[in-house]
Amino acid sequence: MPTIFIDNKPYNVQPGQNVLHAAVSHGLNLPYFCWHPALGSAGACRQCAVQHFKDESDTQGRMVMSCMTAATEGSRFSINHPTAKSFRADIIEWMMTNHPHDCPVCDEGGECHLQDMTVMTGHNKRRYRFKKRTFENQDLGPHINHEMNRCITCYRCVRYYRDVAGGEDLHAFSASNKVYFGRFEDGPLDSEFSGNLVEVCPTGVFTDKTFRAYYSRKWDLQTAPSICQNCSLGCNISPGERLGTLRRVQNRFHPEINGYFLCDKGRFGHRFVNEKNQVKVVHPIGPLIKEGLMIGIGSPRASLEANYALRKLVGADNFYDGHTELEHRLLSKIMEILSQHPETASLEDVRNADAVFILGEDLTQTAPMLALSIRQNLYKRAQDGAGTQGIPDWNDLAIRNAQPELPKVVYLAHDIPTKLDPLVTHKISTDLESIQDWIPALKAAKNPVIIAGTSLGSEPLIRMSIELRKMAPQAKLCYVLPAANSFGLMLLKPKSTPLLTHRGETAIVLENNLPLSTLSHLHNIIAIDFLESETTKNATLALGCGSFAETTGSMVNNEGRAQRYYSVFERREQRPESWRILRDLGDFSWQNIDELCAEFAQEFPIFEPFLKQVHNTQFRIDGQKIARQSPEFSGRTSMYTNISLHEQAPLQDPDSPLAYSMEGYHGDMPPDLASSYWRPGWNSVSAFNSLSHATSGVKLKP
Amino acid sequence: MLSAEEKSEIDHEITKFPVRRSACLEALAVVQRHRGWVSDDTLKAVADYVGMSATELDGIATFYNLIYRKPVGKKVVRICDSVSCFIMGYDKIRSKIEQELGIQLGQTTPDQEFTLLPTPCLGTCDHAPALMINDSLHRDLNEDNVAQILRHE
Repeated sequence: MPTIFIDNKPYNVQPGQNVLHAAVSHGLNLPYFCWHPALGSAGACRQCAVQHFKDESDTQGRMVMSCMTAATEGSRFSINHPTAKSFRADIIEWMMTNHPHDCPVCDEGGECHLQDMTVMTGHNKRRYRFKKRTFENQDLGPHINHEMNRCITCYRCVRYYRDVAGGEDLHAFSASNKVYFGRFEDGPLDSEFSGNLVEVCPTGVFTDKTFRAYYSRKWDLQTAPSICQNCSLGCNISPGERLGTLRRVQNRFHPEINGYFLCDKGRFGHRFVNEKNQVKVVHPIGPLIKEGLMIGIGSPRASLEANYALRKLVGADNFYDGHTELEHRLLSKIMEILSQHPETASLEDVRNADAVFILGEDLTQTAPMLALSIRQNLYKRAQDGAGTQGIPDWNDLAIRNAQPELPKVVYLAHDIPTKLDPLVTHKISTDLESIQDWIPALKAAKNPVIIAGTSLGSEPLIRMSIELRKMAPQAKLCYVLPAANSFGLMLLKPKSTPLLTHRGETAIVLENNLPLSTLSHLHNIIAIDFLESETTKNATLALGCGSFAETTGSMVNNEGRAQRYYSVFERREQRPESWRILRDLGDFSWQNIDELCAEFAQEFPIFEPFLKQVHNTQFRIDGQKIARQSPEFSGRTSMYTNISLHEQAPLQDPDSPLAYSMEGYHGDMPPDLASSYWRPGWNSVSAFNSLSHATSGVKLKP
Repeated sequence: MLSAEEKSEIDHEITKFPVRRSACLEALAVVQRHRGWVSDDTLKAVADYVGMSATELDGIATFYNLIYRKPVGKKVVRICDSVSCFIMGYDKIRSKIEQELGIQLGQTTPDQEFTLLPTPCLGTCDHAPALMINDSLHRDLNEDNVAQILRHE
């Protein structure tokens, strides 16, 4: 690990890092704009200038851009040198000449990288007294708000949108002082990953329009670490709530899964939490009087804990799969394969693979972040190629010049056009014969990934994946599954639903909307769900439970990684966890999630390593629970005066080491408990650069 | 949308490049020669023809000040506002032209005869101030001769 000196202090840095990355990783206050950990350096904004010295005796030095300078062993720099400092002050002053004075009404205000950098540089008075250049904004669709006057032309948006996400409908227009970032004409952004613009833009040009509809400042949001519910990848998210409504979802870094980005489904697809058609809560409810056969139908979108509680209530013999019959058959096959070949590929493995073979999955639709990971993979291959020419892997523009065409290492078998097609080197139909053509390339690859899944409902393709794996033992397998907790549900060994042919029995349906063909077999339904559905409408008894955002539970993603999501908030009219409803129906004694999990781990030892590692209700830092609210959280004493003039006591959370309060621990914490990034002087998402990048979750083997 | 003639001229430009889309700027120049300017619909047609998104092509079109994305008059007056011309009296020349034509920079006369645009440098600093009207260069301008030049063009 090389050591560099910044203002005469030694710092250990990662080999191959640039000086800016090294400095901000160590928490040093060095301002920058165009660099981004996932985009690399462009050297365009000139804000990260530092003084570079020949040796210890050199006091003069020369100015360099820290993002474009390698942190080599023994090199010496100064952030505080007067020359560099005044240069940086000039740069920010130029950048701010056109920037509006609208922070108080800007959505980015309070979590704005530009605001932070301006304060950090000490620019607090505008000398520029001329007209500012102004632009007309565009309607970029329902998700992204556009406010071009705030732009400082760092080019991060197009470098992300075009170069990382592969979008073709956002571009820089015009030149010099009139550069404009937008579309050819008004209209929704085409990319499935457009939401990341909100976090990539260092200021308020691209902001979250859905958040804007019912807005709150960052420090007024209550957040908790959560897991996306919209597909089987288990991306880490940070939902924010205020006054009982979920306001927005932001990315929560996970090095092996989503990294710095989310798909739009993940970012904008959680609004159902605020829907009005919620099933009425009947709680507490007395124990069920068991009469005749009672069966339970589990759910791949309910937590492990809820599925376990249902299984416990009805018994293993009466616990049925909430997947369709076909899905159940495919998933059983996948589980069988993974019990023998447990080495599944994470998204990071996909990003690093030297060849990717996709069998019948339209990834942009079925697991969008997997599609983005493949795009990132191709860029990594370009980085490797440029590396052989001596170009460091952070030097983005040089890499793209040296490797104008991204290498193609993606093989796709699908019968319809997909959005990944332009990146694919070899596209064929899903006909098994032609897939044989891939074998030489597969065998030659060093760390290939084979991707298959359930979306086409094809068992032969899943069998093909294992045939390919047998020919290339170095390959990792990656399966795209139907829902967020499909893997977890299958580990509880449910029976397939078509076995349900008896009439007159009572069926407890957990968080699931069953097909009418199944429903018609069931006479007496007790449905537990958050939102109304055909199933709850056909039920004898419908019991309302809480959504993922107000309950704590665990899920297993497509790679078999068990992760816990923590409740973000509690409504004033509390909605119970499904497992609590089932506990009451079954008259079990679990008082909190730990007690349930203790029994769960005993019955299913496979979950033991995860349940041991997960931060349970007893976990404390400095003797404190972790605060979900920031120390600046406002309105606590008055936000519920419509209910009572007296300040409401904070709600208690029996199921997690987190508190619904601004009181509690706020500092550095394990990555699976961190949901909001902040450091003094760094109020935007960029604060993350100096925090822990450790991984989390426990991989399970079927 | 593109005429057969335009297409054949663009095809000819495409042969000069290894990649089809690399000819995009030449293609814009071709249609501008035929139509005087590049409308949104024209731009979309060119983008389709060379195989890129309209957004991408417009990014290129708007970068170059000789590709016109709005209609221009028959004669485009491009007055140099770079350092040498600036020192040598660009201000006065510009005011004179604005007064003569009754338009400001970036505007077109109501009779569609003249459009007045700024340009960064015409490469003739030793004869500053200078301007160009379509393809003809006029140098050593002063308030008297500039009106003459406009009238004779």
